[in-house]
Amino acid sequence: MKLQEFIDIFDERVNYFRRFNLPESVDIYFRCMRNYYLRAMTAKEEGKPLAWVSIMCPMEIFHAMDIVPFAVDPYAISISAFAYFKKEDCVYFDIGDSYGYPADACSPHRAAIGLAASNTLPEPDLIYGTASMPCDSAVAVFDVLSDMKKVPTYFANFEYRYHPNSVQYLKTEFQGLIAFLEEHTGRKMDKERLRETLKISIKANRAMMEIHQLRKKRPCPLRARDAFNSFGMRLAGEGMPETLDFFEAQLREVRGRVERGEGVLPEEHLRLVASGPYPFFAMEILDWVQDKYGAIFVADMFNCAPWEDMDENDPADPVELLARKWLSFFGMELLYGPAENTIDYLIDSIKESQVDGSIFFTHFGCKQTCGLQKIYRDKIMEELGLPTLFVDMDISDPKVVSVDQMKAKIHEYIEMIEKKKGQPVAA
Amino acid sequence: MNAEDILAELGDIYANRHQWNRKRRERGQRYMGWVCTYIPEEIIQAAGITPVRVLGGNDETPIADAYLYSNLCSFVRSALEEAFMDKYDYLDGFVALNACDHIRRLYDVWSIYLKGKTPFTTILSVPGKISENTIAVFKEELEVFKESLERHFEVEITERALKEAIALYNTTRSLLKEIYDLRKDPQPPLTGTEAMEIVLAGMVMPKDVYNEKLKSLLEALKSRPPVPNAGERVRLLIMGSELQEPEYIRVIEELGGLVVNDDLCNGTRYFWNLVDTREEPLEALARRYVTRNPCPRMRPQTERLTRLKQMIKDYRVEAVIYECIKFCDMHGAAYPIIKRGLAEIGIPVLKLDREHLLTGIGQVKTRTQAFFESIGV
Repeated sequence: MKLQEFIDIFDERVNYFRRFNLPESVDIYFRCMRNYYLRAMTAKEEGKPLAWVSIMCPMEIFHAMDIVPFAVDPYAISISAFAYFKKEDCVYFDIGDSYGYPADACSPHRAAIGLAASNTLPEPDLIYGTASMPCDSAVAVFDVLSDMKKVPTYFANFEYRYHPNSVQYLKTEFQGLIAFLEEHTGRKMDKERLRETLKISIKANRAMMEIHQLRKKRPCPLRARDAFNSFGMRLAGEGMPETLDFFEAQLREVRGRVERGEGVLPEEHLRLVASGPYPFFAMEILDWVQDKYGAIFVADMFNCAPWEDMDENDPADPVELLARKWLSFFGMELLYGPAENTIDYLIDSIKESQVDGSIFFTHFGCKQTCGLQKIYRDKIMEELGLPTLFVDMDISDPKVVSVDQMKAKIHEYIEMIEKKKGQPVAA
Repeated sequence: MNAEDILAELGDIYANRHQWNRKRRERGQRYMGWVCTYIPEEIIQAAGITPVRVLGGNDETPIADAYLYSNLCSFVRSALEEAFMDKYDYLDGFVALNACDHIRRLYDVWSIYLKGKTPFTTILSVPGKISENTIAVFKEELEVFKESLERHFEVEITERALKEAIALYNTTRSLLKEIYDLRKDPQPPLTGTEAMEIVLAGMVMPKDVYNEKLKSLLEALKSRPPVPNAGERVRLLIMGSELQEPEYIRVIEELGGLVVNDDLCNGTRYFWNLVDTREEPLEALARRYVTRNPCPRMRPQTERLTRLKQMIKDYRVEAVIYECIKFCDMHGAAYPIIKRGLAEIGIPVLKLDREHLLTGIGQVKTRTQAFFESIGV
């Protein structure tokens, strides 16, 4: 599937949803995602370099230099989701496997290799990867892409654990990136422009943090799917004005519901926490759980991880601010750092969300989240007295576990916790 | 002693490593388990503690399987099983690093569920990139590690002790390198199986004792007759994931191969590069461990390929066996890069997937035979 087809699908969605007078934030979300793909597709004709980037990317640097960042693996997830939606086979997994990428690695990375090997993506001028995180496959995939495309590549190394000099260290890594970009594109970094871009992302972050705090309210003022859009927005448009528009719109909506005492479900029977990555190819499962059982995911592993608030008017060097911003992101520690440092925080956050059930999506390609299963399950039981359901699945390959199989397991679990609460079970 | 006797002795120590170390523990020697060759043993040694590599065992892993999901590699599950089975009850501590997803989660489970059995646990942050900035940050990490050992074990790690430990380990490295250099010969005096047995023994015993044995072995090997039919066998380099089973190499060698070098963490990646004794010790250690012969956790891969090509040239390697433990994304993903890079110099590569235990060895035989036939052996 070429990017143009993908953009067309987003156009259709925008038009479709407008007929239903959906919240402003949803409209902005689809527009932003469309524009993100459009920027990648038209970069060449606009004379801008295109960089394939890791999800752990300081996007602000690229925006400030008019270099278009394009996160390849999330795109692979979207492609597989659309293939599933259209009842088509996503051929890129097999192409990635046949290129030599391990078939038991994370499926979006297999598909990303497949997309790159089949020349389906706009060709990169540069590649930015990380040398250490968020996981082995997400790191290694950029090595392979770099070897395949033979373009200049920069790897930023993030630490596993922080020291007093960590800010200076990460600042130096980012300065290395800027020097690399300047060398290979001939463009110069404008620090004031970087500062302005960073201001936007700090404000967007503040709004997002408030949204996810309000999500803990009873009744829950945000649908799980809409909550997850935060993740996509930040990946696609960190530092972009339209991303701030999205978070501000979503915050207005959520605040309004809280002030009116409204939830997003007609009746909220059960509150759930989701851990591990969602089955992205079938996010309909989140709607199904809501519609069928009145059960809503009020917390998830991705959005439990906060970024600390920062002062957007801090006069410090913007590259240093950017380093501080990344080091404040608890998600880095949560996914990559020692579990003993993070698990208690996660549990406290879940406690605040007052959940009735815990569902862990076990993505077979993800060694690091699967490796947390036992620790996580035991802690949830110890601290909250809740059993955890493990749903085996793949985040983007429906051939591994079907949606119906996942639903059957979730049904049994919800039946069990509803009985425990003395509530009627949906048929 | 002749080479056979020394090799047998080293093999015996390795096979009975837990009993051997337990006896020394009873006499007051402290032990620290480490799990990946990016951990600078010298700092542990300088604290008066004997470092030993945490390896897997020879049994199934029913307990570890309950703690680590089935997509965690069978090596870490086996190592964890050994710990749950009290095979490492002589350890005073366990140190891991952010080597890969599997080892990170091994550490998480070990530090939470085996706290009572292993009094000191820690994990090091080792950079995944070779640069001056990462060397500097790793030096800071080593300072933290050193201080944590001093605090917990109530010892002072002096600069002198560090320098002595570096000298001791450099001697080990130089001796192993000399032994490996004998394999450049068209008629080498030892097999790849034996080479792995030699390296493994050194990871689980005190280096001063080991060095004495290596010196005797080196002398004995110099007068040892060449490996039978060495000239008729295909000269191989074996590379890939953690492999601690010399039997695996023996199977390949019995089919007509001769492993003359490796890119393994239980091989050259462990000892190939010396620590610069002219530098301040922690600075020198940081530099050596970040810039040593890299495994695929280090970026960029081009550095690894360059060194690999040189090794292939120096040891007159004709083909490469690329073994990859199941679910190892690092080695699995590096394969297309290595394969393409070696194709540029006309070196064929056979990729073999494997598990920690020697299951599926029949497949290894079949595929290796077919590979040898395809390259005209």
